[in-house]
Amino acid sequence: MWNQDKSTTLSLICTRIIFAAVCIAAFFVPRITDFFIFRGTVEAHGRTQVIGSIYVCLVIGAIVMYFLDRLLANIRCGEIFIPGNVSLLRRISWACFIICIPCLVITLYCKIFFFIVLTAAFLGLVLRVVKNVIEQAVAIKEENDFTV
Amino acid sequence: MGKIIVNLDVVMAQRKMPAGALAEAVGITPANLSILKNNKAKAIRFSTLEEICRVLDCQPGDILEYKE
Repeated sequence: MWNQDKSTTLSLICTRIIFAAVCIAAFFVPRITDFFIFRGTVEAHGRTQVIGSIYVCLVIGAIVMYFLDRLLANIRCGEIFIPGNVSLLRRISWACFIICIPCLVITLYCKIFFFIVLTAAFLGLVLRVVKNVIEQAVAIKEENDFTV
Repeated sequence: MGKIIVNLDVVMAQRKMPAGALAEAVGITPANLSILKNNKAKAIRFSTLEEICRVLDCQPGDILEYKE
């Protein structure tokens, strides 16, 4: 029977698979970039800048995966409305905003990347709102815990 | 900004009431009584206050005090 614990485990497994995919992708970035240059999607003179920016994105992505892993580990332990989770959500949200910068650099050489910039910014905004909600929930829980 | 101070330990000492006995008589856990005694409580239910007043034979004002 499908339950909440299995759902959290699935999220944790997905996070680790994506983390592994990010690590593997790092080895093939130059080759993938060359392929898109050959197809004309990326401008050839921006090869170094695009590869550099993608590596910056991958590093930030790996950090986000680590934060997600910690967040899911806390949820699995039943610690949901704790200040630590608010801090993790805040960091993930900021990481989404920061990832827009290297993506904007890539946009100079590959226009389609602008949609990724918009998506990352939107995701960062949504996570910020979720963080605000959890922050309020932590305050309510604390008040409830200290009501005698 | 002012603050509500809980003087439960003072009233308990005056009535010579041990913490364990008070917790049992009021119907709260010793941990919650400790939170109340140590001024860590954020709120107190009327039902808890009523029970404390009944067991200690006192008024809410004897237990709660407002300080600037």
